[in-house]
Order: sequence, then C-alpha cells, then structure tokens
Amino acid sequence: MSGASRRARLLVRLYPAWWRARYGEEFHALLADHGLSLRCVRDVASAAAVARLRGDRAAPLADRRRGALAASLWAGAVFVPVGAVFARMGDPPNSPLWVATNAHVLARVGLVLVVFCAFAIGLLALFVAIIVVLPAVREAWRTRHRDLIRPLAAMTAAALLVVLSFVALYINATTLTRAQMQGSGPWPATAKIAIAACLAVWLIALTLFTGGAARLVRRARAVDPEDLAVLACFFVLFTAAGVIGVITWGAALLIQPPRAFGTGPTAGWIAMVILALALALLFINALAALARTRTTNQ
Amino acid sequence: MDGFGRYADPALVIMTSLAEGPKHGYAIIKDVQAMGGPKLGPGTLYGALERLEQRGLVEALPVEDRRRPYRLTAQGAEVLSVQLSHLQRVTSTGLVRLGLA
Repeated sequence: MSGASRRARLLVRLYPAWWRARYGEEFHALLADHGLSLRCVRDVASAAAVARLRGDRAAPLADRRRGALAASLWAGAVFVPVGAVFARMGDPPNSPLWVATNAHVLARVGLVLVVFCAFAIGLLALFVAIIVVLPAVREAWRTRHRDLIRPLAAMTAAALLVVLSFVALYINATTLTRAQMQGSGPWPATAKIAIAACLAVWLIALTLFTGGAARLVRRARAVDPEDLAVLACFFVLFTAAGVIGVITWGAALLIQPPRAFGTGPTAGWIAMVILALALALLFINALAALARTRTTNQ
Repeated sequence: MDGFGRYADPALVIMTSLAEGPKHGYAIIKDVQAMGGPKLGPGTLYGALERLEQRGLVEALPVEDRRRPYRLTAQGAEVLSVQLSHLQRVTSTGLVRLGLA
C-alpha cells in the first residue's frame, strides 16, 4: 500500500463504522483519484465529524438509542476515573493511590496510559468541536450578522476567562513556591480559595461557551439543522475540558511542592464536586442524545 | 431542499450533473467544476450524496472497479426540475429588474 493510499485510508477511518461499511471502499477510491490537499483533508474531517454527530439515520431507533447511551457510558468510563485519580494527586505519599502506584510497575504504566488516553480523547473532542463550529464562525465573520456576533463574543469571553484563570492559578502557584523557598511558609487558605475561584470561573465560562456555541450553531445558516446534535458533543467536550483542567492541576502538583495547592479534605471535596459535575454533564448528554433520537424518529 | 442545510447547494449541482447520466464521485466533481459550479471536496460530495440517497433522489448502481456510479431517480428528476424552475424565475426577475433582459 502506497503512502498516499495509507493516508487516504486514515482519512476514511475518521468516519463512523456504519458509514465506512456503506461508502468506505468507493470513498477511498475517490480520495485516491482526487489527491490529498490540505483543503481536502479539512473537508473530509469536517464531513466525518458531522457524520459521527448525526449518527446512522437509517438504523432502527433502538440501535441508535443504544449507540447514544453506549457513547455516554464510554465517555464516563474514561473521563470520570481519570478525573478522580488526578484530583487525588495532591494526597500525601502514604495515600492508597501513591502506595499502589509505587508498589506495582503495572499500576504506574496504567496511570501513564490513562493520562495519555484522557489527553488524546480531550484533544480529539476539542478538534471535533472546532471543525463543526468553524463554518458557523466563518459565516459570522463574513456576514457580520449581529445574531451571530453576540454568541461568538460570548464564546470568546468564555475562552478569555479560562485563559485568565489559568494565568491566575500559575501566578498563585509560583508565589506560594517562592514563599516556601524563602521560609515564610505556604498560604493554604489562599491557595484553596484560588482553586475554588478558578473552578467557579471555569463553570461560568462553560455556561457562556456552551450557550454561545449552541446559539451560533442554531442561527448560522451554514450549519445543517440536523447537526444540532452538536449540543450533545459540547457536553462531552466540556466534560473532557474539565478533566483536562484537573489533569493540569495534577501535573502542577507533580512539578510544584505538593503543599502549594493545599491538600487534605478540601482537595477531596473539590474533587467530589468535579466528579458530580462530570456525571451531571454525562447524564444531560445521555438525555440530549435520547431526545435527539426521539425527535429524528418522528 | 429542506433539511439539507449546508449540503443544499452541493446537492443541487450534483443532481444537475447526474441529470446527464450516471456518474461516480470523481466524475461528478470534474463535471460540476466544468459547468462552473463550486469546487466540491470529497467530504462535501459524499455528505450530499448520502442525504440525496436517503431521500430517494439518487440511487447507487453496482460498483465498477471500486468506483460506484450514482444516477438520478424519477423523484430526483422531479425535485430538480422544480428547483431549477424556481431558480430560473428568480434569475429572470433579477435580470428584468436590472434592465438586462
């Protein structure tokens, strides 16, 4: 198999299994004839993302419902344990998590694999969301339509909020580290408040971004009305984004002195809140997916 | 072309191309380009073809050397003629109002 053919095969694999079963071979032949430019890759990735979001409209309702529920459960199965593990990374070295990972090589390898998978899936979800929202953003830019500009502004504000909260968290961490090195001791209360404030900011940003994106997708003519299933994708995306936030938190704990972010029961409670949030989002996603299959069946 | 969303325009040019006779994907892309239509990407082409097939406006023929030709159905021809007549009315009105016809 030539390099071009292998790349074409990889592009075909972006589509869901039901789509590949029906169109896979002929689509691969078309890609071989057409050639793979950057524009072509973007076009195929965008169409594949839409096909994944739409699902197989020809499949029986029970299968589609089962598929939507299975996707939600898989997302939960991957993201929730990862979030739980990383939220507990600030625990002392004699905690069960560290004792288990230090005692077994397999547990350590498993932990690294889980981190890698969560990052990969989180980034993939982000990529899918960008690809799907891109035509709507382009239309907003081209038409300067007020109905589209407002949600776009809300999404930008949300993204800025997240960036600012990360900067604040970083400054907080470095200040605390310096204070520790100078011997003036940590300020655990400040650190905990900063973490809680950042989580609150992320929640506000999440609401702003999801709402903005939903309105943008609904109003933009460039987006297929059937693609409104993208809403369900956003719920999964932000579950992933939340987990990536927790992973960042965990990674920072590994780099910075563990006490810098405050440990003990507060960290445990925050982890519980994040878990509850992730579960709620997954539940809403499952409900949205169910509602979608019901609507399309009518 | 309700429910086609972003695939409405590509679907119309694809049906116009198939009005000439059955064609496979690459031949449709080339034909649409030749008639001055938009440059269809493979993803857009198959997104539109999938929707057209689901609505019974085009149908797939047996595969020939890994390439599957598609042809316009009777229902597809009817929908295409309605769409093109509508476009023709809009075009004629526009040209008259511009003083060009």
